[in-house]
Amino acid sequence: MAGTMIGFASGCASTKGGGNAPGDENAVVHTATAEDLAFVKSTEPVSGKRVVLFINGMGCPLCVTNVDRQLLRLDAVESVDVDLGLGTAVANLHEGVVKPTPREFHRAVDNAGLTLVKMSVQ
Amino acid sequence: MQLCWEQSVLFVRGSIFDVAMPTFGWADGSAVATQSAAAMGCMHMKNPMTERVGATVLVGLGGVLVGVCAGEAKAQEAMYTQAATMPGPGDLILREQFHIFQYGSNPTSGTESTKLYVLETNLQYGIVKDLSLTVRVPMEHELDTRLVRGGSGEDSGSGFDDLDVMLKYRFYRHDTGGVDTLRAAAIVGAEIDTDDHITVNPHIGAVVTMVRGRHGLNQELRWTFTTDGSEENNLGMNGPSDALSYNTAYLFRIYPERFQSDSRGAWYVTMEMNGITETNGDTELRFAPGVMYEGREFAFELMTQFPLWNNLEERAELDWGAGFGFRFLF
Repeated sequence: MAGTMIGFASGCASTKGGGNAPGDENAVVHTATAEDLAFVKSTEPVSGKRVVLFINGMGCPLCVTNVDRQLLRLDAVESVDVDLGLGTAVANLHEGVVKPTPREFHRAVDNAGLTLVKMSVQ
Repeated sequence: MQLCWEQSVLFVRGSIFDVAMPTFGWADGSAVATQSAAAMGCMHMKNPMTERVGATVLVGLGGVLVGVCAGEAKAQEAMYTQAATMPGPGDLILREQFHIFQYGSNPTSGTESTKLYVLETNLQYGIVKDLSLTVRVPMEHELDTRLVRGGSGEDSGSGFDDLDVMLKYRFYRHDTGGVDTLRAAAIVGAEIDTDDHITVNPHIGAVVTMVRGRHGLNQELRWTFTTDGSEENNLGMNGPSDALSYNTAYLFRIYPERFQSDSRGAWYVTMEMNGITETNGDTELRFAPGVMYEGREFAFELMTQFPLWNNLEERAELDWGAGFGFRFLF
């Protein structure tokens, strides 16, 4: 289902602010490009110190704990900071170990019952 | 679902002419209860605790401890209506709820009024992605008032109601925005009466959850196939008739208006419509307004419930209900 959602979103390339739909107080709507979609499915371990995950469906404070716990189960994930305002989760990674692949991040978010739209490695 | 006192383990005192509140006991109460039961004769209880259930209590308490240590999020769910949400694989949710219900006269049993206290423990475990198992263990204390020889007397009894085991499979998820989502899940399970002879009342249904900005909507439809039960003890879904329950919950996030980067919690007002139609024709519709706070590791809910409309011939109607609940995440 998550893959389907990303498919719907492909072609648009932005993270938009709120108020862009009638009666919608939604703060964030994440969308992805074809490149974003391809990267999320990649099986090459990420490089970098942290990964920013853009997540749809994170509708409440308790949902944060769902994604937090699933991400912390990935090897090399040291800590997770979830930002409800931006709709993002930042995974801080251990140094000197094999990092998770984008596909593993995708699966972790999917297990939490949410949709990973795109991600960036920093 | 009708039992005599001697089948109760937990109960200690109580008689139709003896207006005495029961005393609860976990271990040593068993022997006392058995002795006093023989002396007091028979009383109809929905599901008094049996020795078999005693084991369930221990398992349940163990589960509570496990749940406290490994809580997981279950969000946007009002008090009386299911949501298409569930923990991730390998995670566990603990939810404790306390309810009080006041019922009017029962035309079948002859009681003038009934007060029901329910302490409900819910454990939900994520088996695999989109599939969870929920076990509900309700413990009840019931106080019946009857007219006796021109005056009134009270019956009281405590014990465990039917154990409910339910599988929830989320077959649809459509996340359209940072907070927006549309989800649907199928639910199938059974209420298990752990009396001397085990009886099973299967149920099947579906639940849909929609969140759009500050607005949340849960809708649940469930059919229960009843294989036991009695009209005398029926307070809704406990009778011999099959039952259709239909619940709708609307949640409105009153604070914050928009989630910010430093948002740690949110306040909601909730409004529920809870309906039951049984195959004997009895139909009841209740309205339940309440408030709910959700933090990242703690949630609290407070709810009242009132009759909105009913057509009840066989059982007592609700005068009012109230409840509160907690969810702890560690």
